[in-house]
Order: sequence, then structure tokens, then C-alpha cells
Amino acid sequence: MGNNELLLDLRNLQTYFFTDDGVVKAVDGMSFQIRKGEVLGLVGESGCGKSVASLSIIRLVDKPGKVVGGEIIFKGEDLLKKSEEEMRKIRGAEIGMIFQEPMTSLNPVYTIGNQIMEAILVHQDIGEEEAQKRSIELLKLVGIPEPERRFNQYPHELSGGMRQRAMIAMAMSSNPDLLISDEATTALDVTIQAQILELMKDLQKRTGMAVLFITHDLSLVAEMADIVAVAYTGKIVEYSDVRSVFKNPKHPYTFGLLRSVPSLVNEQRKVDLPAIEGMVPSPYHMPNGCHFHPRCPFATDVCRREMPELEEKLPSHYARCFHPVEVSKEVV
Amino acid sequence: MKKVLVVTLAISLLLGFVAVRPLSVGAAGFRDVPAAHWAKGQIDYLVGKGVIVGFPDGTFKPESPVTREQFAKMICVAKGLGEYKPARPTFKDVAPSRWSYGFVEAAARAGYILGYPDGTFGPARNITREELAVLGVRVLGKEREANAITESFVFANDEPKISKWAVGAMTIAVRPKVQLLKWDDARNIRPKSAATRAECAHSIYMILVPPGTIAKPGTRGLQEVFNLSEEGPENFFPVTSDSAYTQQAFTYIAGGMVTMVPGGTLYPDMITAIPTLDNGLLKINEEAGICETTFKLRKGIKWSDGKPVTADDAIFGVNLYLNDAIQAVLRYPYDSIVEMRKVDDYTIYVKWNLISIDCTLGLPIYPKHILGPIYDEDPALINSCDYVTKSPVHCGPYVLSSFEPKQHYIYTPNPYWYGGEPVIQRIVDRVIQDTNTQLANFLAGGLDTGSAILTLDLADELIKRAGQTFNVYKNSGSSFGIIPLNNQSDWFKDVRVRQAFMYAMDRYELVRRAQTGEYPALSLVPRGTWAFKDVLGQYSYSPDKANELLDAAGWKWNADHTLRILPNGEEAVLEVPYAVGAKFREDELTVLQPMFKKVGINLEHKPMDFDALLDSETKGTFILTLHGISYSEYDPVGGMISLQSREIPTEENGWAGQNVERYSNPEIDELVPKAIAESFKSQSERIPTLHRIQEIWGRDVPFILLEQRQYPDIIRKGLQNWNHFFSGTAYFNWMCGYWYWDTNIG
Amino acid sequence: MRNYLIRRTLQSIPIILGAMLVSFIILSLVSDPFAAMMENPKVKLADIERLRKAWGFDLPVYLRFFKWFGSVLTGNWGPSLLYPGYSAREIIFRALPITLQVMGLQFIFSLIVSIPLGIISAIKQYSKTDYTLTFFSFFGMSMPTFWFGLMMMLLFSVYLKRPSGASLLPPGGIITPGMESAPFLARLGDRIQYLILPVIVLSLNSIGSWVRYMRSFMLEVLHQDYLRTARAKGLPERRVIYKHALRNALIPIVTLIALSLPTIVSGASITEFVFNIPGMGQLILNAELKNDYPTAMIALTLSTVLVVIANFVADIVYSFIDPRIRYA
Repeated sequence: MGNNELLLDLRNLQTYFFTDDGVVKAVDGMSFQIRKGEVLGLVGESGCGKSVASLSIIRLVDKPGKVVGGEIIFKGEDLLKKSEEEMRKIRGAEIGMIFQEPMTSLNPVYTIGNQIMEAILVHQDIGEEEAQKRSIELLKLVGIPEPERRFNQYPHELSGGMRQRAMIAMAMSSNPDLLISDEATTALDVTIQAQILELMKDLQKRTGMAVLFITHDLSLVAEMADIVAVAYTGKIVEYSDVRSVFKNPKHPYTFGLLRSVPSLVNEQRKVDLPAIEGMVPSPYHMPNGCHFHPRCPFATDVCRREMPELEEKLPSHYARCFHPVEVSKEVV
Repeated sequence: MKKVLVVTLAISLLLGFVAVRPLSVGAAGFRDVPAAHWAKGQIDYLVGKGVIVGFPDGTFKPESPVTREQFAKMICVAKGLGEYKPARPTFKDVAPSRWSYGFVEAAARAGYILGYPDGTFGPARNITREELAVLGVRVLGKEREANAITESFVFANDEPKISKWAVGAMTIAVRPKVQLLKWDDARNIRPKSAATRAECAHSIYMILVPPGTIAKPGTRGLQEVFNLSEEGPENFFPVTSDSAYTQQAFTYIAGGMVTMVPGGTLYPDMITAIPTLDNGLLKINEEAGICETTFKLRKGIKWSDGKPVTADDAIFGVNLYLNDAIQAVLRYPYDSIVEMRKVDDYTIYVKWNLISIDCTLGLPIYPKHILGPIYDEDPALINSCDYVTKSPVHCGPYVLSSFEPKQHYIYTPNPYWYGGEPVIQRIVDRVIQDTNTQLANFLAGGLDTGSAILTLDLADELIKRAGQTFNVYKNSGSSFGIIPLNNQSDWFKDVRVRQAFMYAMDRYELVRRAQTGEYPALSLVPRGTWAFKDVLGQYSYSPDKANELLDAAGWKWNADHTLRILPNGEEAVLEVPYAVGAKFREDELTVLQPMFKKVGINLEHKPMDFDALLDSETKGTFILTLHGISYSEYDPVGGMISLQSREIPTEENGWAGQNVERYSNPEIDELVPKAIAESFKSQSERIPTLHRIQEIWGRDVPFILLEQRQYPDIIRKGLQNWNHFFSGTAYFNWMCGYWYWDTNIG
Repeated sequence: MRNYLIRRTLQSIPIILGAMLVSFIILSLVSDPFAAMMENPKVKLADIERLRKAWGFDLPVYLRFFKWFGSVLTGNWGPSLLYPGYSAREIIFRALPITLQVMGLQFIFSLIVSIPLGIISAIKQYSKTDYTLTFFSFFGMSMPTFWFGLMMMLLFSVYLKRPSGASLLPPGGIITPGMESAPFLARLGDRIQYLILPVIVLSLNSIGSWVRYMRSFMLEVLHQDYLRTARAKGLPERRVIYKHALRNALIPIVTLIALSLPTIVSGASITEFVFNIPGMGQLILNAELKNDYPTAMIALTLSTVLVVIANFVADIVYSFIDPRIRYA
């Protein structure tokens, strides 16, 4: 879609969880690509496998989960074939990751300065003094006022927004090529959310790093992403650039999601938000055929029998559906 | 012919083997020296060495007397002296033609025998024990020492009977490192009695193998004993501590005026004689309720720091008990002292307003030169002074040399002990409370002795595992399980009912199953003491007899023959109270229940607060109860006092009195005061009354005695003179000064 | 912080006083120490009354409390009734060092063993190692000390022997007879052989429970998000566990340790009984069973004070190691 060099090429990733109650196919054949400097928004409800996919990329999936298939080509090399030692060198240095809960994602017993320095020192061969200087610079970079004072503070002494900024500082400390942001703003209130998003956009433009922006909130995707991938039950069901997805959603699920976003623009639309009927199916009882068919108003027999493939429905716009949606006007 | 010769030769050779072989001890030994004979070991040893021989008929005749010439021979053979037959006889009455001439002369030449002043020897006369002592002492080379002794220190009731010329020898003869003579059960030394063959054998053995020659088995030359106690002493001052363990520790280091022998016999220890009416040291004025005693201390006794013991120390000892600032636990009987006077440095006169045998047991004695200054400053300081807590000083066989509180106490010989030099150089009294740990320590080898230690089942375990190394004795105690019966209640006012209860119990089964001992009580006087008579053995287990008696007493059966009804219409269902938590008693009752069911009586458990139980006895509100009781060994009358009618506690007499059974028998009321009055007579004179009282008691059964407690004593084989009978007033180490190791005699 | 310290100290005083008063009252309600004497037929009522007066038992409870309290403050901790002639202080200070040695060694040993084992158990959750360690933990916690102690004694003292013929390890006790006056180093060497078995037996129980605690604290931490962050930073697993995880897991452990400190002083009566150690456990038990009032009171007070102090210390330490806790 973009013209830059391919940075991350996820091919048919399969990450399964082998539990006592059965096998959960959290990521069941997901594929997408991120180019240098690009922002990919990975959207979906909770349980669709987006977080697991991100953890799979840096190979931090916890037991009983296991990557069982696919390839993760990063800078031309398959990450799944690398040793733990090699992955360690990549984590934090070439791929940075920030998480949803900034309070629990930072170690409460060490100062943020300590934790940022640690991130620097593990990858960069510089002295402690230098690392400290860089940490403070990073704090400034992410917009934390009085960075010298904050350097010596503990996570609980910072507000949610500042903690997240600190997390970002930590993740960016070694200038990674790819930043994975897993619902990084979900736990923040709306105004702070906006600030963080601004920060991320700013940093992204400045450093030219790519971002895998994971969220369940479509409106954020509209702001941040260049490319959108919609995930459902472990598979990508719609994949295109942001404008195309929002203007012409092809998959009924995407369509439903877009319709359910409240709109402040058009006051007249303050009506009951149409929700998508039904619930995400239980991972232990996946429906046959297309996983979405029980909730899909357009479902037919073939949907119940067969799983559709991800196919190009419009130029560079892919959807996984037998009956893609035809929309005549914008639904935003 | 040749054949006959050969056969004859063979037979005679065979016979020769049989005949020539000395009558040494085979596995069976002598017919008249049983395994438990006190001198068996010594006799076997000497016979084995050829020093003495038995008789052709396989006997030894241990009780036969020995003539002086026979003894002369014995001593020569023992010391390896060959016969010596000089031309001229030394003694007028021992001619060269006499069979014993060679031996008598050899003995005389060795300086062992001197004969009488008139130049005779008296060969055919029986040698007396005091003569034996003199001779033995001479053989041991201690004659000069003996001659320097003017006061007898023989610690016997018949000490005055010793001839003047034998005083020194007798004193030495009973010393720990000599021990030529033993006392008898009445603690008499019997100087003028003829020495028996057994006694001579013993003496000669002691000459050849004096105490201290043989070391403790398994060690190289050590003379020590490791004793086990359950607890350590509270302090070292029996005045303020009535703990048995304090008394026990004190027994190692202290002397007393009068000491008790197992069985209840008393003897004069630091004094020359126990005051009796016969020897005039005791005077009684019955009407005034007064008695007067005079105690004469032996001269030359020293404290363990070398200072002399005098009458002042005894008077001081009494004052310690009577001073209010000193927390004496028990003042009896000294609180009945009316007057106390020092007659001279060694004689004290005391007047008591109490007539009891306890007045003749002497006075407490403590070193005035050490405690006096503290007392003068402030008597209350005595309670916590160093003497009491760490460094006691007394005049007994041992001194406390060091200790680790509640772990071990080390005693070493007191160089100034008036009894001589103890053989054992180190007694370590180790304290271990857990019975399993005690057993582990015995098995691990760190202990030699223990008195009233372990439980009976653990003692059996020890026998199983280490029976070749230890002797385990089960001593009878003077504690009993008792069921007091209220003789005034409807239940027990009929003697037939009480007797029926005796027949209804299988008391052997009871002691076996409730694990309290090997045999049931046979009298209210502890078995094994001198005044004991078996009066309960007649009640052999017989439910039939019990039923007979109950029928005769009018106890009818109910309709379905499961339960009896008393004459007053009450059902024979009875709650038996005992102290809460007394597992012993609970077990006993459980065993008794089915036995009584057979005769139609239902017993039920009623554990209750012990104080309330005792109170119900005092007030007479009980029917029966179940608990324990202790009697004294030397004072059998003590347990009989409560049989008198006047001892019944009533409101009038302020509920004082021990006759909680409310038993009343006019004959007993006559006999008990008689027994008390006879307290100061000799044992043989007192026995008829004491036996009669027991007989009546056994017939009337005012209360039921169950078991006589048993306590295991563990002694490593080879330790001699551990002479113990479990007692509440004497301690296992009463003879510690005379302990020694001898593995020859087992 | 300073205000907090002052406040806590002031708060401690009424707590300790209250505990002392309650202990005193309860002890005085239990049957009095002279009951046992009454069973001896030769002891008269007059004798008992005399002793009662001498020990001060003729006053009513509250007066007795103040009298006792006053004397404690002036350093007179009362006489020991069980050991006439010795003061309660002497008795306690005789037993205290012994208990400190045994319990202290046991404490340190347990700590050294159980923390690493707990960590391993948590890291390898559900593995064979974890199950084995769990099994031994429960074994240690449920093993009755009197039985286990005895078994150890049988093994090491009765069956196993040194070349000289003596037991490999002594069957109980704390000192070899004769060593009371030996020089310090000799006594130390002697003492060690006596401490080995009781320390092992006692440790078994505490190791059992502390491994479980450590494991559970560690497990809680192992599932925390910040470990994921740490890994995402590219830290080696060792650093993730020992720097990030352990530091957090140690917070509750340190609190636990601080709260367990009073046991070092109160001893363990059953083990002391089996191994014949004259320590505080035995002392307190005997004093309470046999109504040795003054000694029991002092021991109880000592325990109370220690518990209060330990709690105090635990809170202070907690505030030092957990930056989220700050006292005003």
C-alpha cells in the first residue's frame, strides 16, 4: 500500500493456547505488513487476538500459548527462527512496546529514571552518567515537565498520563524501528488520551519510526493510522488504507463497528446506537464456516459452511466475506 | 585280663576327671547359694580362684560359722601364703600337730594374727564379725590407722555393742574403700555375731578386690556414674524447697542426724544413737504431752570446707526453719519445739510439745560459720544467697563441683566426709524430662542409672534392647490408688457391701490393664516395709462371692436382672468422681465398669475439679471417690491414724481430721493409740499391734486400695550398693558414698 | 516520618500496659501456686498462710498488679516461685541466650534455604521440581516435631556412632558435663554439636511454610505486567526475575520475617522438651503450668513487648522497602 521499504511482514501467524479446556486459536492465520515510517492500526474487540499477535511478534507469549505457525519477517529475517538471545537484542532496541496499564506496567519499587536508564544501558554501551543524561532528555522529549525531578520519582508519584509518557520514553530510548502500542491510551481519560496521541504522532513524524497501533477504538484509528487491519476471532477480516476502510467498509463487521461509533458532528444522530447483534463467539466453540455468520445480517448458507478468504474487493482493499457490503455514502 | 585293665584304667581316668576337678561352680552353682544371694558373686569368684571350696554334697553352707583357724587358712590361701611350720609354735593352743598349724603360723608371721593377750589363739572358736574386721584391717595394712580412731563411726543401731578394741577396725571396715562388713536390714552391724561363711567370703573378696579396683565398664580406669533425673533441683536448700529433686541433690552433699534405710528402718548417721527410751536419750511425759530428746553428735565431723560441725550448727539449722523471714515450706516438727539447749559442743537437748517418732529424727543442720553472718545481717537474704543458689556447703559424701542448670550437676568426693573416702570420683546427675529422650540416652550409652525413671513400657523396651547391659528393677512405691467409701452412706454402711466390692474387682487384671504396676495393694502398709502384713490377698476375684454378699446385704436384682436395687429402693447406679485430667484414674474406672456390671452395679465417669472432690470428702457429701494417696515407709502408724473415730471431720471440730470415710470401730479406736504409744519400741515389739490393725482393716475395708505404684530403677550392670526402694522420704542416692564398680560380681 | 515514629511509640505504651494488665488478671484467676502444697499432709494451713503473705498474695488483685508493676519498673522482676532463691530475672536470662541460639540459628538457616527454594518453586510452577518442593513443604509443616525429633535422635545418637564409640550427635542437651568452665571457643565448639539436631528439626517446619509463602508471593509477582515490560525492554530473564520480580516479592517476605521475630525469643516448647534444651519455651510452659506467677508474667510481658516492637519494626522496614508507603 505504501511505497516505503517493508519493515514487518506478518505471514499467516498462528498462535494457539493449549488450555485444559481445549485449544484456543487466539491468532489463527493473521497477515499484515508494516512499512518503514508507516502506522498500522490493528482494530478489533477484546479477544480478537490483536494483543496476542503483538506479543507474538516480540515472542513474549506466555504459557500455555505458543506460536505454532506462520512467519514474522522483520527487516528481512524471520523472528520466529531467532534464538532467545537474539530476540533479546531486538526487544527494546529495534522493536519497542508500550502497554495498556501504565501503573502496573512500571515496576513500583524503582524510580522511573532507573527504569529508563536500564532500558538504555542494556542496549547501549555507554556509562551511567551518559545514560542518565539521555534519560532526562527522553523525559523532556516526551513532554514531562521538570524531568530532573521526575527522574528520581516513583511511578506512583506520577499521574496516569505522565506514566504513559515515561513508558513511551522507555520504549523509544534506543530509537527502535517499530513501536508497538498495545491499547496504550485505553486506560487514560479522554483529554490525556488526546495528548498522548499527539505525542505519539509527533514522535513518529520526528523519528520516522513505524507504529503498530493496536486499539479497539475506531476513532483513534482514524486519527493515527495510515493502514487499518480489522481483526475478528484471530483473523484479519478487513485490510486497507484508512480512508478506504472508513469510506467503504466491505466487511459487515467493520460496517457494524463504524455505525456504532457515536458522532458528535451530527446532533441528529443522537439516537440509539445500533449495536452489532450477538456476542463474540467463545474460543472453545467457534462456529463453522465464517466465524461472523451468527451475527451477520447478510449471512447465507455458504457463509455457514465455508470460511471466506481475504480477497481484494476494491483496489488494495481486502475483506474476508462472501457478501461484502455496498455503501453509498460515508458513515462517519 | 588286659582288656579288664584297660577298661578299669579308662573308668578310673574318667572318674579321676570327675573327682579331681574341684567343686568349682558350674552353671548351676551351689545348691544353697541361689542366684539372688547377696554374696553369690563373691563366693563364685573365690571358689573359682580356689580360695574357698564347697562341700562334697554340692552345698556351700553360707550361713555356717567359721572358726578362727579356718579363717586363718582362708586368708593365707587368699593372699597366696604357703604354709609355714616353724619348730616352735607361736600360740599355746595351736600345736604343730594341728591341721591348721602351717596356716596359723604363716598368718602370724605375716603379721595378720596376733592372738589374745594370754598367748592363745582360740583356734576352734568361731570368729566374730568384729574380730573379722580387726583381722581384715590388719591384712589391708590399716591397723595403725584403726588404732588412732577413738570414736566409732559405724552408723549402726547396735554400735554401743562394739568392743573398745574393735572400734577403729569396725569404723574402717565399713568405709567406702574397704567395705568388709555389711549392715543387716535392721541396720545392725552385729559385732559379736559369728561371721558366716558367706560373710567371710565377702570380706576376703573385698580384701582381694577392694572397691575402686575395677573401673566402670567400657571406660579405661574411670570411676564415675552418670545418673538420670527427671528434673533438676529447685535450689540447694531444702528449707525453702520441698521438691523431691532438691532433696535428692541435697542427699549427695549432706549428712543428716538420722537416716532411713529402704524398708523404713532408721539409723544414727551424724549422731551416735537415735534417742530411745532404752538408751535414755528420750523421755516422754504423756500427760503433759511433752517429750525430751538429746542428740549427741559424733565428734570430728567436718563441713566440706574443713570447719568442724558442732551443736551450734544444729541449733542454727532449727532457727533457719523457724525464722519468719525465711520462706520455709514446712516447719513440722520443729514448730513444736518448746526449748532447745546446747549442753556442750556436741550435745543438744530439745523439748517438744509433741509426742511423735518425728521428734527423734534429729535436727536440721547447716553451717553457721557460712550462713550465720548473712543471717545476722538480715535473715531474708538467706532466701537468695549463693549458698542456696549455687554453692552449698555441707558434710555429706560429695560436694557440688559444677553444674549447668537443668542440664547436669557434677558431684565430686568431699575430702572431709566423716564416712571415709567415696570410691566414685565423679557423679554426674543429668536432667532429661522427656521419657523417650531418656530411653534414647540410655541406649546411646550416656547414662548408667536412673531411679523411678522412664515409664513401665519404656523400661520393658530397654530390657528388650539392652538387657545385657542394664538391670531393671521394678520397685514398689508407697503410693496407692484409693477409693474412699463413705461408711455412713446407704451404699456403704454395710460391711458386706464393701467386701463385695473387693470380690467384684479383679485387681490383678486392673493393674495389668490400667498399666500402673505388677500387683495390687495387699495392705494399707506398703509391701516391702517391715510392718507389712498381707490382708487383702484373701479377696481373690470372685463375682460369685460378691453376688452372695450383695444378696445377703439385701441388694435385690431388678426385673430383667441387669441392675441391683439397694434396700432403700435406690438403683445401683453410681457416679465415680475423679480429678479432671487424671488419665490413670479414668483408665482404671473404664476397666472396672464391666466387672461391676456383672454384679449388677453401674459405675459412671464423673471427672471433676479436684478441690471440689476433696471438699466433698471432708464434708461427707460424697459416696465414693477415686484418687491417689501416699504413705510413709518408716512410720506405718501414720496411715492408720485416719482410721480412728475421733478423726472424722465434723462441723464441730472445724472439718479437721482425715477419716473422711467416717469409719468407726471401737477395737481400732483402742489399738491405734496403742500403736502410736509403741512408736518408740523396737520393730519386733511393735509388729503384733500393727498386724492386728491391718487384719481388722482388711476385714472391714473402710476404703479400697487398688494398686501399689511401681517405679522402674535402671542400673548398669556392675554398679554396687545401689540399694533403693522407692520412697517419698528416702532418695535413691542415700548410699552414694558407698557406690563402686565391680563387674566380677554382676 | 518523625511524627509517625513518635505517634507509634506513644501508641505502643497503652498496648503493652493493657496486655500486661490482662495477663496479670488472667494468671491470678487461675488456681494459686499454693494448691499443690496442700496435698502434702505435713504442710499445715498456717505454713501456707505464712508463705502466701511472704510472697505478697494476701493483697487483692489490682493492688498486687500495681505493686508488681512498680517493682518491675525499678528492676526487681520478682522471685521465681518454681526455684526458691532465684529471681525471675535470673531464670529468664539463663534460658534466653539458649533459646536465642537455637531459634536464631534456625531462623537464619530457614531463611537461607527457603527463599531460594520458594523462588525456584514459583518460577518452575507445576513442574516436577515444584511438586517435589511442595510435597516436602507440606511434609515439613505437618511433621510433628516430637516424633520427628525423636526419630532423628534415634538415628544420630543411638544408631550412628563416632569412631570413638560415642554417639555421632548427642541425644539432647546443650552442654557436655565438665565444659561449664572451659574457655569460650571450646564451649562454642561443644555447643554446636548439640544444636545441629534441634535446629534441623525446627527448621523443617519453618522451611516448609516459608517456602510456600515465598512461592506464593513470587507467583503473584511473576504475573505482573511490569515483568512483561521488563522483558519487552530486552532485559535478560535473570535480571527480570532477580531485579524486578524478587524485589517486589521481598516486600511481603520482609514483613513476614519481621513479624516472626518474636518467636526467636519465645522458643519452641515441644522441641525443647524432646531435645532437653532448657530454653524459654520450657520455661514459660512450666511457669504457667505450675503457677510461677512472677516468671510467667515477665515472660509474657517480654513476649508482648517484642511483638509490639516487631510490628513496629515491620512497619518501618516496610516503609523503607516499598516506596509507595510513606508515613506522615
